[in-house]
Amino acid sequence: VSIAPAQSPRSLHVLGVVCGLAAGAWLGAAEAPTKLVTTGLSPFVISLGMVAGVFVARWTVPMALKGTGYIWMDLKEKPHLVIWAILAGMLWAVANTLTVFAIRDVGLSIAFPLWNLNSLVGLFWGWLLFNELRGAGARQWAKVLGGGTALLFGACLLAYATTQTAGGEHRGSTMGILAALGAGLLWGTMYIPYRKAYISGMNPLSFVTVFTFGELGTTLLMAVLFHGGTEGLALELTKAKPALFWLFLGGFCWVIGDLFQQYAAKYIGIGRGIPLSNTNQLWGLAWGALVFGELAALGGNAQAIVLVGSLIMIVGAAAIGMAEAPESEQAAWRQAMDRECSRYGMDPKRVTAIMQGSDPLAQETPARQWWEGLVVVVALGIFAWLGSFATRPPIHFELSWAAALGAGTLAFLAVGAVMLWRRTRFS
Amino acid sequence: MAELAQGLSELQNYLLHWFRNGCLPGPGVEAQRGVGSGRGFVFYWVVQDLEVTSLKRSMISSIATDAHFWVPVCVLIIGTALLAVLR
Repeated sequence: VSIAPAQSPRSLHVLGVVCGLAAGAWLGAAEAPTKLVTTGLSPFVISLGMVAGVFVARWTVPMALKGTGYIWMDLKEKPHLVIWAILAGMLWAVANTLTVFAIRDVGLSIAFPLWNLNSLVGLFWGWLLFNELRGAGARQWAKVLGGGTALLFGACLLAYATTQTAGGEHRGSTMGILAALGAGLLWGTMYIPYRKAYISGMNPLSFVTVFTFGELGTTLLMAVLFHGGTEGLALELTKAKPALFWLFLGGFCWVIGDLFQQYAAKYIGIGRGIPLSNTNQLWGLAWGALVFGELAALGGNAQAIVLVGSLIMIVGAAAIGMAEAPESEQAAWRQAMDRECSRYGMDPKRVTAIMQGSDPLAQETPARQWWEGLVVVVALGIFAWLGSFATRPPIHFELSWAAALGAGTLAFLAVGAVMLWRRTRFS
Repeated sequence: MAELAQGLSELQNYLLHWFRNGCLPGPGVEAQRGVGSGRGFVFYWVVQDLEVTSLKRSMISSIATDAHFWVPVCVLIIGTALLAVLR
């Protein structure tokens, strides 16, 4: 039987918080393989390479976990959400491209905090459209808003400190700031489709399977447009061939992180889920500083700022982690869910059960097909093929720290996956 | 007036039958359904696509009636316009 036993809402809150933190770990780890990419590649090619890896993983992981029959039935049950998922993928791709311009024009130290405003944008949409934090009380508001702001402030400090060594000239234009703000707006708005899907009872694994079409299609279009046609893009891709493995690997890590982020958005909402997954900056910093030795040239002041920024982010994450939605807020969530059920003709009881971590669809799903295993083998084959001509650039690499951070990241995967399986069967 | 209402009602039924079944009501319905009938065949597939595929119907319904949908769409348009300017 695939339906998990009824448990307290608190266990769902804990699950959502663990998923948010695991998302941060894996989204941060996704930055590590991209650091191995030799410089000189076009940012659009790097983005396209990662998204291509994401595309492969996003088909394979959901199929391995739930099977194509399940995913297909889930999509058929809520077909109106298909366009929402594609729209979310398009939002991601445009936002990602905007960040390239933002970094070019104003530098990472200014751009990063600006696009990290996505957590506050998501909080606003969650409150306005999905009744998040409605009836929550002042204490919960203080924890969520205060925690989100602390995470944002900590991220500002980290970005400021870590770019002290970078230096460099930037074009310094209003357009760069607008690009960063635009990216934050788009990434914050991208969570509207996420939440829409989950209060309609869609499985995150089904959602990301469709999401990836909008993501890859738009990224491909951007890459073609910005390279003056397909020939220019093909030339760039040929140059990037030795690095494609690392980009695909980064994309794979990103998929794992994004899946946890989706589950966090489902079980604790976007107002709490996004700030927690934004802790990826801490992990990215840890990989950069400890494994790649990026902060070796930092002075004492900058190192102190890094420490303070990291502590503030941890405090912010802890505050959100303790901001469990009270019964009055959960009643407001149910009103938003009922609204969706009424609009799209879905069964409120069934959707309620899914929102509580049950998986009624799993009992109705046809048996798995033999060729699903073949798809997994093909996906692994693609990685092996890319790995056969991958080259490791001559950069500083601390194996012991990489092993330690890798173990920590895998621990989050293990804990998150086991909790998801036990509590929801990946529902 | 009553005749007009009846006429409209018949026209409505006629059209509904056409959209639902992909063929005109009356004798030879099965023949028109597609096997060897060019007109019926085309209508059948068009209508099948519109009527049976609930995906399209739900998506159209989503776009037309769900105000939430236009929030990300408007933001996407703003972001794309910004990209066009930056380029």
